[in-house]
Amino acid sequence: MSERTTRLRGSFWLRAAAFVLAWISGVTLCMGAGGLFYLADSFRYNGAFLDSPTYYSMRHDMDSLLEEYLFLSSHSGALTPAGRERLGQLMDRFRRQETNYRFLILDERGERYLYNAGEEEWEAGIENGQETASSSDWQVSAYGISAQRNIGYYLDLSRTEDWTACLGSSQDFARTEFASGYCYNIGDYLDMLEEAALGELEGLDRETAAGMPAVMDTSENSPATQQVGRESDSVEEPVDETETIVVDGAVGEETDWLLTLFPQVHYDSITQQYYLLDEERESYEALGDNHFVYYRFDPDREESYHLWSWLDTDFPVEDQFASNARYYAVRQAEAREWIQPVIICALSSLAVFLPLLALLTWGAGWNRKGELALRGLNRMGLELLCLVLLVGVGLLLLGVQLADWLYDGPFFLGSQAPAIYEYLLFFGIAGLVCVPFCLMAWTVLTAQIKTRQLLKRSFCIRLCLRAWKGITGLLSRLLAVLKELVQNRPLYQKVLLWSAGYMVLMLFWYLGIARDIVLNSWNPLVRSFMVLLPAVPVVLLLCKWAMDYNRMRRQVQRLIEGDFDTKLETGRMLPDLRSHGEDLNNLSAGLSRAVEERVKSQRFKTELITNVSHDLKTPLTSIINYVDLLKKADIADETVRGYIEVLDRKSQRLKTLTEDLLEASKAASGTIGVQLEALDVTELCEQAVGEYDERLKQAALSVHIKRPEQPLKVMADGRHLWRILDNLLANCTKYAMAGTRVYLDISRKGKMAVLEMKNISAEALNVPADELMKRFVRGDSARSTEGSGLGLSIARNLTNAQKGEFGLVVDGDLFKAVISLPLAEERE
Amino acid sequence: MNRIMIVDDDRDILAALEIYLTTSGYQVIRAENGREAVRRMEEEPADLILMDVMMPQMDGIAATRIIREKSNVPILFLTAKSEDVDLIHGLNVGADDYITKPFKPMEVLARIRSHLRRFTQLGGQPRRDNVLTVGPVQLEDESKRVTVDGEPVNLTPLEYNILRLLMSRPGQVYSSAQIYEQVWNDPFLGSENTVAVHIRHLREKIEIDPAHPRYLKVVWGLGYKMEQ
Repeated sequence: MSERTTRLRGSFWLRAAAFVLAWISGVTLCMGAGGLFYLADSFRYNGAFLDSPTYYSMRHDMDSLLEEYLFLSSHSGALTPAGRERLGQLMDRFRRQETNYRFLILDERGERYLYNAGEEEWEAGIENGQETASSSDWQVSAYGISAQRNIGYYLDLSRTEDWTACLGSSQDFARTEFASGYCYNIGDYLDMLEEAALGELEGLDRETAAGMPAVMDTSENSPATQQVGRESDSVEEPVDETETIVVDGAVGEETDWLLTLFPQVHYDSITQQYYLLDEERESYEALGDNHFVYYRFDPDREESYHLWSWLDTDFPVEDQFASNARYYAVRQAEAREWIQPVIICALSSLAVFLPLLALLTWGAGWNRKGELALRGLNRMGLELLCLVLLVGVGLLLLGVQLADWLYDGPFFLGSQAPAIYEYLLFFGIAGLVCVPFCLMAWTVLTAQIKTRQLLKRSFCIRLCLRAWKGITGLLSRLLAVLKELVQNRPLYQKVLLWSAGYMVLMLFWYLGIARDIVLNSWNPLVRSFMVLLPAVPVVLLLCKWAMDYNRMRRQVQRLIEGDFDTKLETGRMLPDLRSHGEDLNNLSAGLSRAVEERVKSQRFKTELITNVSHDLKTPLTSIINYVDLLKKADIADETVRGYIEVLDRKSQRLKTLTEDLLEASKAASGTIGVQLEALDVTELCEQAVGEYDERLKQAALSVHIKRPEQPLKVMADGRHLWRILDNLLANCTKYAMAGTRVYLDISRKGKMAVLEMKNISAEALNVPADELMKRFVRGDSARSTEGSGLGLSIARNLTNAQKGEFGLVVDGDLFKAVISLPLAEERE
Repeated sequence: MNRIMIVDDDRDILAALEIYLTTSGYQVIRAENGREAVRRMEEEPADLILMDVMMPQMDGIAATRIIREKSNVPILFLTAKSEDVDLIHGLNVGADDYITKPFKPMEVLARIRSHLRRFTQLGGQPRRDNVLTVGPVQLEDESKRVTVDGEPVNLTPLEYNILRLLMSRPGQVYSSAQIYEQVWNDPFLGSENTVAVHIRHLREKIEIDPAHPRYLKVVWGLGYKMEQ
């Protein structure tokens, strides 16, 4: 968008100019609308007065009057003075011929009554249908009625020899010539009449009409089939009433109320109409559903009337009907002239107004710099805008009043002026007043919508939003407080609170809703249901709690068994149990980590020991090998051989030490594998002693084994136990006094098997027992013999590893080692 | 002349072993790691291998596995590892024997001799019934003759019977009571360790290293068995 356009868009003057022009064109548009209204009004009823509501209401007034008269007159015994007066007024009007309104009154006998203005009475009407009721001013002489078209005709002999159609309802009033013709039945006859009324037949003179039979015999057995027409022979034959009348059903049947009340009513099965027969048979009247007949039936007097009313559209009398009709006609003619100008005006105004409106809309909200900003009036809130509009509407009403005053008052344009002026004035003033307000409202609205500030500017909406936010904020705070209050309490408090709340609810339940049902219901199922219903949630809750608790117990059992990997699903547990479950999961995670650490460290230790031992043993091997080679070498020098001897001894010692050290460290670090199985202790001791047989003989020691009464089985690792005995026996061979006995006692003490080995020490044991067990401590403090000092320590560790106990007792020269091991369980 | 390959990453050990072996009359091939051992075996196969276990690049066990795919020569592990697990693993892989470090050279030579004898002689002997064979020990029940690596051994009748009992089902553990009753035909009173003593004597006669028997083993607390 170019800068020029931007500036233009934001230009105030442009908008002001557009505003003014829009105002003017708006006014003209309104006037055009007014004109359109006028046209619409004028042409609404095709311009016919007889279609207009005015006519209907006027007619209805007259009809009601007559009806009332009929009623009154048939109840003349009950005529009050007021009633009489009204009747008088009514008759005056008719007498004075102040109306174009015509009517006929028929009594039950089919006699027509016309009002005798002179005698002020009703007289029996036309006889023979042809005579003029001379005493009346009514130009009615004879009449006929077309059944199909519901048109009544009367023959106006006083004026011309023609039939004049008159209508009992609201059709057109037309005068036409009656033509001659013939017909075969009443229906045709009627048609002919009608056509004559419409000018399609040639004239039918009086005589012919007079010669026409009133009814036709349509039954097969009738003596004559009458032909209505110029063949006067058959026509002139008198038709017996009784012979030629066709009645639906039996004569005098009471199936039809009309027949009982009107003996002269006849039915023509061809036209399917009821006819009221004149005694002279010269005229007939069709009775149908759709003619306006006011029928009054008075059971007391057995008199009923039919009222036919119509309007003389010639308007011989200058009455309201005539003036109205004239007015309508004039208006229509007027309106027709105005159609074109109005349409042109309206369309052209529209053509001008719409673009201006578009321009205003386009420019709304923009300023010169091309930004959307709300200035001045545009910042009005929605409410203010509505207020402004209300002012506009109020001014509009004022304007209408003004227009009204103008029209009727000082600038009286009079009723002679074309009606359109009124409309134009009203709408014009309305537009003048209303349009600017609407335009302003429109621009403000569009500006606000463009800047999306519509809702913000509206005071009410902002208030509502603020209130809403306030409420929701308050609610959420309340909720948070409640939550804290409830959640962080210890379990028993929570349970108490909930129970209290639930009990209150139950109270409401039992004293309120359920009470009526329980007391009043006869169905025991329903009663028990209402009573038990509050218990259901409690039961469900308990079940859920029990299930969760069970799951946690199982999880704990899994932990005991060592399965640290399966986690507990805590998502769907109750709150307190859930935190417990999560703690359990954390615990199991921690345990599994600890186990892993332990395993790693064990592995590390084992590897360490293995590597160290390998690193120690490799050079040691070489030393021993080469020393051996040296020994084999041919060396004469004795001192050198002595040195080699020393090397040999020491390297052997080093070897022993290394092996013992390795074992001791393994035993101490707990990296030995222990495989417990049920062993016979006695057997093992014997095997061990057997192994040491030679050495014991060499050391001049004899072993005495004291066996238990029954063979004892211990849970031990065979290799380790052998090693223990190996150490002990080795100690015996090294330190026991030659020639003495070694006692090995095997016995049972409670759940343990006890092995005691006793011997006499060769040298004095000047080291206390517990010291002896320490590593590298030897009984011979001079350290002159072979032992490494680790033997007992190893023995103790091995015993402990097998879940046994190792003890030493030193008593003078007596050295006693006590080993206890758990018994293997008896299995039958 | 038998060819023996010695595999060890420690050169001093290799040197010492070479001296021992050459003085005993064997031809020696040296290798310093498993890969080299495999390669040398393919070039010029030896009659026996002394294999160290812990070596760089390829350890003894892997080398044994590869060599075993193609050759059946006796393999003896020289190992500082003396854990039972390691021993079983080594024997499962295909070694015939193991020697722990530090070793006695005499023992090494004795074992070599034994394995060589078995290896060379085994193929030629026809299979006969009533001959129980476990490892180097062969017992002919008809002639009541026992040989270890072909060398006859003198056993007392009791020793013989014990050995026969144990060799009749190699791997089966016999308690002292069972051995006593079977051999002495007397109920075992449990007051003597005769059986243990006899076992010991037996072991000294048929085992290279009686202190660490390979075949006549003690199952502590349960009895004795002949290892397969």
